[in-house]
Amino acid sequence: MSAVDSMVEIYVFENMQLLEQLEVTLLDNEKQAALSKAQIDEIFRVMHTIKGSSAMMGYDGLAKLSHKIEDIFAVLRQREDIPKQAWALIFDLVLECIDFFKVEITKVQDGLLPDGSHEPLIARAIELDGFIANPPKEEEAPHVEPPAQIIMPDDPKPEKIAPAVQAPQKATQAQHYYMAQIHFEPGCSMESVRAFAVVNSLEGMYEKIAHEPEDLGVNCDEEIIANGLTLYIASNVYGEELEKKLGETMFLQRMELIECDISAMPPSISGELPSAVVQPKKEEPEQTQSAGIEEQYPPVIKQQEETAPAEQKREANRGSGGVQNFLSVNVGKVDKLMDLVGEIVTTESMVTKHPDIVELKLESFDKQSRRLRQLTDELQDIVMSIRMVPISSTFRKMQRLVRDMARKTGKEVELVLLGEQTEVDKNVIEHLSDPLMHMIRNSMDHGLETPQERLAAGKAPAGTITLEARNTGGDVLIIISDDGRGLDRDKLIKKAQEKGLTTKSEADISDREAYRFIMQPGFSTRDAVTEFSGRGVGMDVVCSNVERMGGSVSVDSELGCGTSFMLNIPLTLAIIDGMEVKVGQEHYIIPILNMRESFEPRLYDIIIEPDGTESILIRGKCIRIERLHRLFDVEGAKTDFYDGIMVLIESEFGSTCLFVDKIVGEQQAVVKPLPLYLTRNMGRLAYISGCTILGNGSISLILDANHFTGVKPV
Amino acid sequence: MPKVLIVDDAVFMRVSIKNILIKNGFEIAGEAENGLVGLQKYKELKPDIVTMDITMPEMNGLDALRAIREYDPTASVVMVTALGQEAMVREAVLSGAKGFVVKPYKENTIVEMLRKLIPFG
Repeated sequence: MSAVDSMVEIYVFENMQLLEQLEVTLLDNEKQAALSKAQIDEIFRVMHTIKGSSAMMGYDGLAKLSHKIEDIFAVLRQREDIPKQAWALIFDLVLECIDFFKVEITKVQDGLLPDGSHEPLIARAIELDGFIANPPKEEEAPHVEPPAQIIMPDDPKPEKIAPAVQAPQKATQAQHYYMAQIHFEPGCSMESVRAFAVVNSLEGMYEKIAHEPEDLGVNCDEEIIANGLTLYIASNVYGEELEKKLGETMFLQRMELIECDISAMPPSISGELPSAVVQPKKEEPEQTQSAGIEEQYPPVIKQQEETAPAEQKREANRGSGGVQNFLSVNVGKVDKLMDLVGEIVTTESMVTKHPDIVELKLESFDKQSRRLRQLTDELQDIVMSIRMVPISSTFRKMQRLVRDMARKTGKEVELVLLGEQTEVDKNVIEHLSDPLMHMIRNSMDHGLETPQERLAAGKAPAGTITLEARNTGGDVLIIISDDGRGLDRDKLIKKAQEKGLTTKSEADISDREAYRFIMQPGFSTRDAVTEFSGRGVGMDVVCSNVERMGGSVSVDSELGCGTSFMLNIPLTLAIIDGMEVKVGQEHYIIPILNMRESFEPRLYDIIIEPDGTESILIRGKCIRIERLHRLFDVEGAKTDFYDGIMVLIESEFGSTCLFVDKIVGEQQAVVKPLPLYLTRNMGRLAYISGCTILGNGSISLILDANHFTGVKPV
Repeated sequence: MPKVLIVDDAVFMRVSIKNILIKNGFEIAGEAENGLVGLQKYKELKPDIVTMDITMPEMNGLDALRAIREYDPTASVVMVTALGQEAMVREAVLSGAKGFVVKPYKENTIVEMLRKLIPFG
């Protein structure tokens, strides 16, 4: 049972990977509306692989469809003159087939049967087949075929002719005539090829040979299944030898060999004509008959010519061969490993900072525990790096989305991808896909104008959406920008006031605040008049998804020029380097990446405004002070600036000074997310990105620098 | 135990053949993901039998078959093929393939064929 399960797993994994890769190839080349020989070969091979494994798994529908596509590409391999219109159809069909395969294979993954109907796609494939074979008003098509008509057995022909020429002389010496009846095992497939192999295996043992069916060069499986293969052999070897040779035939069900009189032989053997020797004669008339078949099954010789240059090309980009150095691991195991490493990190500090020993001077213990710390750090880095995957796969999905939407909406769009190689934790990527999809869809739907509108506004008819990923220390920045119509600040504010989302007057609302309205729940409704009327998917969902990961969303826009959304997402959700600070009896963790400096404040640097807001001058810059004890209502904390310490934190949104009692020290924090019922209720909890367990077993809250420095919780 | 080299670009097919063969008392000498690697491994591992896919990147099964037969004219290579590749199979037969199975095959199909090629000890 487990063997079957693991086969299913391999089936799903391998084929999904192939499909992804195929999709990339297609999308990359769609603009040129053509594929290179190597790429056609690649698609052919992928379809072939899917066909093979699907057939083995007994998924007939998938096998049939992939077979059909494989056939089409077998034809394309030989064609030099594929019309442009055909390419569009090919891309469409193959992409749709990829979708179909993905859906079906996902079913397999979920333990269901792939029961989707492949018939419509096959019907379209047949249509396409016809289109390629007879492109409208292309007269030459039939003329192109003949050169490709090098029928396979041509190659051995010269060798075969040689004995044939000698045949008349030797024929007189042939003392024996045999008739053999051969039946293959039922269900062994390709009976005509097997028969061909039998005839071939007798080479050198006969003077003349003839067989029934006469022509083994074409598909005559049915005939052989029904009547078997009959051989007429003129030979001077003994019957036993022939019998032994024939007995070696693979999948032989039964075989009869009888010696008989020359009169029982067909004219090709009993007669005089040397041309009676089987092989060469058959081929000539067949060339015209079997045009259809040759079209489907590429002549081998032609194909060899093709593969030679392709091989050289591949030699050049040898990089693909490196794939074998990768090991695919079950994600569940890596997740478990991650959890364990998290536990080890916590336990390590529990041991080394154990209250019983922390006051003791233990030199060698300290040494060893430092070493232990080093190793756990290293372990953690490795585990983290295992989980890091380039964001490109997610980006590629968007490419497909943009393509499909452009078709539907009639807009012209170019999607520019930047920083595809940026690596992000696998968990983050999984959570990122949906928000990105929504945002791209929004940009396509509402952000970009139709070509006519764009021309009227003096822009190029094709819009551009840029999707960019960038590493900024501990965070990944994902920017989605379009050069569409932009956000209309006044409209947004009006709408927000109507909906009762704000009580501020228009003049008091900053641009950024206004743009943030679109992320408010309830702002995007179906009948809203703004350009952000949605399809039921609101930006608020995107926003809460991203925030659940500990990230943030910000919007910037210029009316008429475009809009850009910035997602700031932590590189990993698991472990951070933090600075532990104490406020009263509470401990907090500040991410080290956000920490710039700590210092004792000088009173004359501090500015207190009439409304009580406190700021401090640092190197000529005025920076807001946030008292943690006030923010979190901590009792017993130091309130006098002289007694405590300032910590300057910074994020891309700006800087803030935190006032705390004292700094305890550096601490690795395994981030445990706050339970959902707490994060839903934003308020001051927005300042917290998670919690962690300290070495002494107590719980500490991790501060979210982004919220302190810029984005005010709404 | 007869040693088998499995040449196929699809992991699925390699694993599937491997499982069947191991279950039936064959030893897997090695696996190769294309014809070129297959040829190298043949020289290296000297297997008793090779199972060879036809459609593969780098070097297809036919070329690999020819190269292996050129290196060792007694080599036993069986082709693993699929419907639709009749022409290729004919070519393989002419190039010295000892037999072929057609996907999807049954377990005993491939086992019997290999056993026939090598008298089982």
